[in-house]
Amino acid sequence: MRKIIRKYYPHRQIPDTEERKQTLAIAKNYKSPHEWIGEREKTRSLATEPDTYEFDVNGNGIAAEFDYEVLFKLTSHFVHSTVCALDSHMGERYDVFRVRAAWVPNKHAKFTLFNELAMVSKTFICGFRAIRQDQPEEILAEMHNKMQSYK
Amino acid sequence: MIGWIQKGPDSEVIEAQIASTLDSIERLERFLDGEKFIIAPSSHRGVIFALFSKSLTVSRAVCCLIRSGFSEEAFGMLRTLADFYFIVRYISNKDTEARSTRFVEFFAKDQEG
Repeated sequence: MRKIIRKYYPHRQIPDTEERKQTLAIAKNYKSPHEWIGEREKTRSLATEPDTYEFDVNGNGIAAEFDYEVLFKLTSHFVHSTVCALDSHMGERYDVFRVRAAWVPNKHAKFTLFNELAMVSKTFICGFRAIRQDQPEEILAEMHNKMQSYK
Repeated sequence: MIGWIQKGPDSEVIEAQIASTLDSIERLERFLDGEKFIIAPSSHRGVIFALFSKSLTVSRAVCCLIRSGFSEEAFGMLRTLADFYFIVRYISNKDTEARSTRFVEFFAKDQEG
């Protein structure tokens, strides 16, 4: 923020309050401005930490590796400006250009709705563990049934 | 471009799924508001509730995008929901209070640069 103010708004004063000093002291607890957990591959680290609540048949904590390696990475192509995101916009050679030339209506729609329910369900299951409250089991079970029917 | 919709062969099925998904989102919202949870002084409850709220809001936006014909853009927004899930999972997994504090206080790093 200080760099931005100095570079683009040089006429503005950078506040020098006690609150700001405290904020800057807290900032020193973080090495990188790009991650908050202290590890380089932040999202991978979040997803791959073994679970302390759910275990596989061998007693090892499960991880959200699939959600990271498949869902997160696939959707990333449509967040960043990668060439994969242009699939529906690429015309054929020698054709007249058209906006959304290769558009497929409802592409990924079912996949998205299925995974929307999956991600929200998982978020609630984990979150209710943290706040130590009973989960909304009836609603979550219904969401699970809907996911089965979306396939 | 508001209201641009290109119908596909599955449009009726997808519209039914959107309505069904939104119904679940609304039920979760009603549940959270109805329970009248108190945001205690500990930071983790407030963070988790805020992540719930944001997650439900993004979910509604995803449905809006699909309904308006922007299913690919909705697909991209799914990444945000996955990210919320990873964060909530990580915070709840262990050291919950410390991790949620670290998550919240990260705003300070943005002020530093």
